[in-house]
Amino acid sequence: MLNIYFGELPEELSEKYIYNTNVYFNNTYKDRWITEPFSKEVIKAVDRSEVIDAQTILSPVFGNMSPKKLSGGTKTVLLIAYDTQRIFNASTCGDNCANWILKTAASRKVIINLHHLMDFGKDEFKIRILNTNKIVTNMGDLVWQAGEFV
Amino acid sequence: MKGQIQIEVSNRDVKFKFTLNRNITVISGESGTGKTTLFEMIAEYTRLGNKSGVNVKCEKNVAAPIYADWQNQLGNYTESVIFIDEGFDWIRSESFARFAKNTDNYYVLFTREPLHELPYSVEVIYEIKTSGKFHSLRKIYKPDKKHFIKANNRKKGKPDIFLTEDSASGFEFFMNYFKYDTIECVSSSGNSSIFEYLKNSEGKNILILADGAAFGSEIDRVLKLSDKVNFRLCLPESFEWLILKSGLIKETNLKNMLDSPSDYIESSNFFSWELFFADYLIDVTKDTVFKYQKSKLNKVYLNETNSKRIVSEIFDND
Repeated sequence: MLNIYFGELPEELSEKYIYNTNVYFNNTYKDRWITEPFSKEVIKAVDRSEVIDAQTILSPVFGNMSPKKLSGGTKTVLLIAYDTQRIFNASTCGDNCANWILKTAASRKVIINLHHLMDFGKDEFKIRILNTNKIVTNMGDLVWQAGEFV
Repeated sequence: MKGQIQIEVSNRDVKFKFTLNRNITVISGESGTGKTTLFEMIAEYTRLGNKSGVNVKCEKNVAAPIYADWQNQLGNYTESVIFIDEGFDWIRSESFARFAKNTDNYYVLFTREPLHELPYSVEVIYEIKTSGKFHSLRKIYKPDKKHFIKANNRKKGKPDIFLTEDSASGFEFFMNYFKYDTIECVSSSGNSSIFEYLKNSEGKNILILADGAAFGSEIDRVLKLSDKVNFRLCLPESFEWLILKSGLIKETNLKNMLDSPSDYIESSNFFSWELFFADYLIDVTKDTVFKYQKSKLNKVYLNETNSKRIVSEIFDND
């Protein structure tokens, strides 16, 4: 299930926290993160680009490019999916990443941090708001519960 | 710095072209639209200038801080356009707001986070619109002619409550305006309290009036409440701007100023536009029957004819 801490993280979690996901991704990503089927889908959907191999992405704007030139949102989704030891700032993700973040949390516990109210869409979902420990299942309830923390 | 600033940034792959209208601009929106690309191009240009190969066309200096010691870097710039990436968490700090307030730079901030320390307008929140290699900026929030922003209201009709963030002259004005009406007039005493007030007002029909010039950090969470709370949101620049727009005040330069405020508002003197409009109104009315002060409203504004002219910018008088 997706667990979200809204606003400033408590001190005890700060050691695991990465705010600047762009820099962290560029310095830590693994080749296999790029070539996993899930990654290919994310890169196709968010950046409209094709994975050629672990070192090469074909972008409609830049032509062949390094994974380091992926969008900030895509990089953060991949970090959330594959670097399970950290808590990432998902406010680097646009609303077009929301569904992919939910998918990473479909089969395991995922914790992210948000400084804004990401739109998780009209469908039902299950998200725990860690500030209050309440579970919400739709955007209306999420805004109601989390709005005061952003 | 004042005026509109046109900027064109390009390299072999992409071209960004846009105009800045105020001292603070926020670029938000979906991932994969080019925000990081634009920032990195400006950062490379900051490091190497024309020898970066990045082509920048702008009448002002354009720069991006690239180190953590932002105060030292930004302290070197004056009359410049400064781009700041979402990776720098200090953009939401009070110290950055204090710093920016005392400079004459314009700031372009890439972020989705509400920046509560900065008074920025809903009109300067943009997303990047892409057409092949060409990128421009598109406003995310577009008020209608009466300055109302569309929300997902479930029912229209006469409001039960008129909520204004103003607790001084503006509140006094609307208390008087609605005195013979069944509408309850309430002040939230600030923008940040509006969200909480709405949460406690389920089942009510609320009309909110706030200063659009400084509502940028609240707009997202307030609009997202509209699935559960029935409200309409009206965001003129400010109460003083409504008075200036009403035609009550006669001043040679007024129309030109209202048509193009950015040409008149020096950003180092006025951190946001509503401060300028209040100052301007106080100045042009000081020796007239319309003498204005923020703390206590001159009764001349309360008579029926003048009141109707002031609200005609936002309400249909009938």
